[in-house]
Amino acid sequence: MSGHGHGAPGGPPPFPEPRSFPRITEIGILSMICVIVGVIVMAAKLPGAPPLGLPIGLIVAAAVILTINIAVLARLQDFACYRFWQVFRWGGLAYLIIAGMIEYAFIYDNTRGSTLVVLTLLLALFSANVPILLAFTVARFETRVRAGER
Amino acid sequence: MTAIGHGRPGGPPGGGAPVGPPPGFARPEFSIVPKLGLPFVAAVLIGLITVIAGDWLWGLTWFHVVGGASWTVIDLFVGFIVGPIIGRMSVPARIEFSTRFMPKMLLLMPTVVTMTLASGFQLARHLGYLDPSYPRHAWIVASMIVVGVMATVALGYLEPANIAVLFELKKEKPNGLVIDRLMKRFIYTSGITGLAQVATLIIMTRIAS
Repeated sequence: MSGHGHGAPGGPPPFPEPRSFPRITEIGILSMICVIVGVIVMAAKLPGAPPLGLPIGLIVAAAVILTINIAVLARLQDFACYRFWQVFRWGGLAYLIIAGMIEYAFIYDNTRGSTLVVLTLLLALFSANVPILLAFTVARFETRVRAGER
Repeated sequence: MTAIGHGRPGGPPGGGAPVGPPPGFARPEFSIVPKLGLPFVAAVLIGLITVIAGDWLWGLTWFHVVGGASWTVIDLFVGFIVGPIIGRMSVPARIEFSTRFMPKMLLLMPTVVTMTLASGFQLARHLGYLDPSYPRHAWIVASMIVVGVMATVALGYLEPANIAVLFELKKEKPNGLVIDRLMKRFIYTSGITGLAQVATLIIMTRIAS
C-alpha cells in the first residue's frame, strides 16, 4: 500500500495511518489452507474410505497455528476487544450454520466413523478460523478502545 | 488488473490520496446487514436443504447452475468492470456507492457460494463424479482445488474487507484512507477470484462435454 495520510493544504485534518499489527490474517490464512487442503484430500476420495494420515496431520498443523494466532491476539495491547467479540459472535453464528449444512450433507451421504470425525474436526477448525479473520480485520481499524480494555 | 485511482480525478498523480469525505458531505444511512434480504437467504437455504434431502436431480442442477453462474458473473463483473469504475469515482461518490453496494454483497455472496458448493457436491455424488473410477475424476479434483483457492482468498481477504468497510462507513467520521485501502483489497481479491472463475469455467465445460 502506498503511504498516504496527507490531506490537501487547508483541507480537513488528515487521518492517522492505520496502526500496524502482528500478521494475524496471514497466520489465520495458513491455518485455513491446512483445513482446505485436508477437506480436498478427503472429498476427492469420498464416498469411499479416504486415507486419514495426511488429513489428521493437517488438522494438527491447523490447530497449532490457530492456537498460536489466538495467543498472539490475546497479547495485543490497545485492541478494540469489544468490536472483535461483536463481529466474532455474529460471524461465528453464520459460519456455524454453514459448517452445520456441510456436516448435514456429509451425514446424509452416509459418511460415518473415523472419516466423519476427521471431517467434523476440519469443519470445526474452519468455523473457528473464519470469524477470527472477520473480527480481527474489523477490530484493527477501530479507533475507539474502551477504557480498561486491552 | 483493476486500477484503483488515488485521489480525485485530475488530482496530483500518485498523491493527494483521499483522507476522508469533504466537509458537509452527508453519508447515506445504511444497515450493515440488510434485514430485508434475510428472508430471501433463508428461502434459498431451505430450498437447498429440501432438494438435497429429496435427492431431487433437477433441483440440485438448478441450484448449482444458477448459483455457479451468478458467482462467476458477479466475480468477473465486480473485479473487472465495477472495480475500475469505483477507482475513478470521487470520494463522496465512492462512499455513497459503497454504502449501497457492500451490504448487499455481504448477504449475496455467501448465499450464492453456499448454494453452488452444496448442490455441486451432491450433484457430483448423485452422478458418480466423485468416484475415483470416473474418467474425468481429475477434473473434479481440479475444480475442488480452484474452489479451495477461491475460498482462501474470499474468506481470508475479500469478506473481511467487505465487513470492515461497512463498519468504517458507519463511523461518525469515516477514515477515507482505511476505506480506500479496504476497497482496494476488495476489488483486487474480486479480480483474483474472477481469474479463478475463468479456470472454473474451463473445468466445468470440460466435465460437461
